[in-house]
This record gives sequence, C-alpha cells and structure tokens, in this order.
Amino acid sequence: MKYYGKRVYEGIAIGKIVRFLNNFKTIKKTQSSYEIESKRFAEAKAKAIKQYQELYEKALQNLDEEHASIMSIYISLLEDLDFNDIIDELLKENINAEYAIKSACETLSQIFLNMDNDYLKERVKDLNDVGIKLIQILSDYSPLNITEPTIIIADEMTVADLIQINKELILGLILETVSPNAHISILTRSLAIPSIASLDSKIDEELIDAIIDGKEGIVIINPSDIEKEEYSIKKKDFEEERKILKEYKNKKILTKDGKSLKVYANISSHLEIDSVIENDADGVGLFRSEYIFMNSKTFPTEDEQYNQYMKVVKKLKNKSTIIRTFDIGADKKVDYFMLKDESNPFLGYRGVRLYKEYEDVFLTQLQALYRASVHGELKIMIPMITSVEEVLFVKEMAIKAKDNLKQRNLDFNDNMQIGIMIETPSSALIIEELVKLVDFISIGTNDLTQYTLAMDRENSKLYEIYNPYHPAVLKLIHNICERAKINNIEIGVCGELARDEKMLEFFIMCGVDEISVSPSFILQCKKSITEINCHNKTIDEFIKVLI
Amino acid sequence: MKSFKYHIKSIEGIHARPATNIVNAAKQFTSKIEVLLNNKTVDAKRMLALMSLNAKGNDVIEVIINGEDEDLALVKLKAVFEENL
Repeated sequence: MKYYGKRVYEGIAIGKIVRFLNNFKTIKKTQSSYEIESKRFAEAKAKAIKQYQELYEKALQNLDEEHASIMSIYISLLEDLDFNDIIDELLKENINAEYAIKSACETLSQIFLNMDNDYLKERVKDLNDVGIKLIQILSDYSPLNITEPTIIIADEMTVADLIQINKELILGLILETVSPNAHISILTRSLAIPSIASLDSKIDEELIDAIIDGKEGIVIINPSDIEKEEYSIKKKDFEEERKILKEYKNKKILTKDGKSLKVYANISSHLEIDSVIENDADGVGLFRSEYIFMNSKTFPTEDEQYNQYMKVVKKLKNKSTIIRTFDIGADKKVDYFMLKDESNPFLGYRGVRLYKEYEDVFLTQLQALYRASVHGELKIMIPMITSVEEVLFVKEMAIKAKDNLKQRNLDFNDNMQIGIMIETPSSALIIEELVKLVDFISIGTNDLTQYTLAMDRENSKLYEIYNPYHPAVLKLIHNICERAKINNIEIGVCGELARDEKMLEFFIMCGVDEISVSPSFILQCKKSITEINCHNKTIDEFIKVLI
Repeated sequence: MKSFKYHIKSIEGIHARPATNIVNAAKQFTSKIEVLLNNKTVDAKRMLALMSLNAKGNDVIEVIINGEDEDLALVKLKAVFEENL
C-alpha cells in the first residue's frame, strides 16, 4: 500500500523493512510456554548486558563518566533480583517474554511513581530504557539485529537512537510522526539517507519490504514486483547523478565567465561534520547552536558548548565556521527557557530579543565561542536583528565575555568576526547603518520572504500564492547586497532560496560571496555554478525573466 | 551476626549510582546482608529494593550481616558506604 509524507532526503530505497521500537505501545500479549520464554528472556538479558558492558568500556575510554555510570546502572537493573523475580512470575503464566517485560516495567514504574521521591520517579525512565532494550533484542526484526542494509520505520525516533545504529546498514528511514524540521530529520538529510517524515496516515500492515521515494514523499509497503522494477531503474538514475556530482569535489568552482560563489554547509550538530567534509563544503555557513540547547535537559554549560564548538572548528581546519548564537522562540520550544505561548510566535519573543533577559545564558555561550575561536576560523552570527541598538548590545556583551576569559587566563581570538542575520525587512532597510558595525552578514531568505510577503510559510492555504521569487523579495535582496558591498563586507545567503538553481545566477550578479545549504546539496550547487554564464545581464532583466 | 550504623552524608542519599556500588559489593559475599531504615528492611543485594528504601542525606541506616563471611563483609561494606555516601 502507498503512503504519503514529507520529503526529508530525496534518494530511493528498496529493501527489507523493520520497525524500530522505542516504546511499549505495540507490544501485545500472546500465548507461549514458560520453557521457551524464560530461555528467550535469559538470552536477551545476556545480550543486553554484553552491549551495555561494551558501551560502559567505551565511555570510560572516552572519559565520559556520566555515560559510563548510566550503563552501569542499566546493568544493575538487569541483574536485579526483584526485576528478575517479577518477570519470572509473569512468565509462569505462559505468556510471551515481551509482554512480561512490558508488564514488569509498568508495575515497577507505578511503584516508583507512587513514592514520595523525585529521584526515584526519574529512574522510571532508566527502567523503561532497559525494558525497551530487551524488547528490541527479542524482536526478530529489531534494527539492532539487522545484518544487511534495511529500511527502518519508527513512530518516534531521536538523534540518540539513530547514532546507535550502524549507518551502513540503514537503507532508508521512515519517521511516522516526526517533523521534517526535527533534529533527526536534519541529521538524516545531511547523511544522505533516503527518508520521509510526518506520514499522512499510520502504517498498520505487516512489514516485509518497502520502497521509499524520497523525492515524491512516497512510501510503498510490500510493493509489487513491477513497482520494484520501476524504482530500481529510478534508483540507478539517481545514483548515476550522484556519481557525476562527485566529480565536482576538490575542484575550483567558477562560472563560465569566471565568477566565483563559495558553497558552505548548514548543520545542527557536530555529528554532521563528516558529511560536510565528504561533500567538500567550502566551510560551515550556519551552525544552528540552538540544537545543543534542545538536546540538553537544562542550560548547557560553557564547557559542554565549548567541546562541541571546538570539535567542529578543529575538523574544518582553515575553512570558516559560522556559528549562529541560539535562536529560540515560542515555536522552537526549549522547556527550561520557560517561554510563554504566543499567538504570533514568528512576530514574537525570539532570537536576539531574548538575550537581555537571558544575559547569563548568552554570556556563557559567548565565552564558549571565544574559547573555541583559538582552534580555527570561527565566526559568530546573531539571529533576528532588527535594530542598531541590538547590535551594540551584542558587542557590549562580547567585550564582557572577553573580559571574563581574560580574568580566568583563558585564550581566545580577540578579532573573532561577529556578523548578523538579515532576515527581517527592518534590518534590510537599515542595512547601511548595520554594516558599519559588523564584520559580515547572512541573508536568511526563509524568514525574510515570509515577513516581506506578510505570509506564514507554513500556512497550507497560502501555498499557491506564496511566491519566493516575488519581485519585492528579489529587490530587497539586491538592495541589501548593493549597500553591503559599499562597506566591503562578506555577504552570505542561507535558507531554501540558496539551493535554488534559478537563483544562483541572481546571487552571483548581486555580489553574494557564499551560499549555505544542507551538506547533501553542496555538490549539486557547485555543478550548477559551473554551468552559469552571467552574460552581463542587468538585475532588472533577470528579475523579469524569473517572474 | 555483625552490624553497623551509618550516617548518610551525601544529600542525595542512596541514588542509583551508590546503590549499584553497594549491590555489587554485597553480592560478593554469601552472607545475608540487609539495610534497615525506619522499620523498613531491604536486601542489600537487590538494587530496586535498596532504592525504594528512600534513604536520604542525614538518615541513619543500619546494616545487618549474617553468614560465614560476615567479618569480611562488614569491612568491605563499611568502606563502600564511606566512599559513596
């Protein structure tokens, strides 16, 4: 049967499919015998302990004490006599091991939740993690048991879940209820795994094999032979295209008339760095630092942030890394910020607007960034700027951060470049004043377009009339570039328009220095650039052609 | 039978991490080892049971050991408590 969803990465996958379980929702009770099930449970338990033991040792090697102690707790839970007794009693009722485990976890969770002890209530999660691990091992079709490249389907899945699976064995990913903008989707796209998110309907049929058509957003469960044939051909074509693109690696990229445009990468975590390097990005044009905040249970410390920034900057060596300071608002919910719900989050309390109230958080991030600046070409960028005052505030904070590091005798690059995002009409229209105060700018086309057109880009009713090539938007971008060039500062473009082939010529003519796109689109952009010939067109002619 | 009382210094009390260490230490001995707090007694070799004791900072727990290796167990367990709690 065919299912529809949102595109995450456009490749094609054809193969076996297994379901990744990370909750007890789909576990049902079935009849079996005590002999069989107690043996299954014992074997699964042994395997789980072995896996946790390996992770424990790995964590110790990486000096990750916290992770090591969690593994140690998991092992203790598995060996706990009470845990084993409860399961044994349940198995004596001649039911399947999976259901016994589910039941035991639920019973113990209830006991803990009823105790007047916050700490124990939190341990319920550990208990459930252990239960899920056992069930994953027991399931014949668990991703942890796959030995050949397989398509994985999950109701929910997090980045932490994904990185535990051997990437080589993931043929494709179907994320039933995950948003295409979620961190796991962004990571999947970077890793070039054919995937689809946010399906229109849940998949209930038996899972044997499947086809993912990433481009069209289609999933076919248990396809016919004809469908498999059809997609085999499409897949070959797609792979041929990717091969051709590889030729653009490590090549000097120029248009036919000798103009250049650097192609940088957008990332949300250090996990995407390998993809950045593999796709020969000229640098990182946007590191969305808020994902560090989203993946943390509370405000990440200066050291935690420093470690992540340093990893990225070091790996990129002498290529630039632009890290955008945290861009959080009512729509990018991070619980511990305790932001109130708003009726108009896109026009609300977000981006740089938070920094005064969350001054400590901002300073911590700045300090971490400055510390990381000694390891390579690091630059920072501020989101959602609409006034000169905001820029002056940020620069004041930068000085404060540097003073703090001086007092602590920590090194930093005093000349680390500070830039701003131009993603609002107001910043676009006062660009002359702004460029005098900053080292570079990056045009965020997604938000700039929606604010200029006064349209919510996620409103499906406006889908037909939402025109990213609207002359108003193009004129605004051109204006920004003209004025910025007078001050000789670097201009970047990030956002969906950056990877639009039709727009590359426009950006080059405007004098844009770099575009920043998801790593899997870099080589395609480079190829497109080499096919452009600007013909000395004027901007107005160009805009006419586009509309 | 051997026993000792212990005044828990760590604010968090018997959390998963110290519980793990206590259980691992207790399991090394054949003796029966129990922990008592406010009329509740649990088996020191059972992690979930230990945690459910809800022992917090400033609580005074009593460890009761019964068996062939109770002397060794006493020394070892005292040390584990000192180190972890």
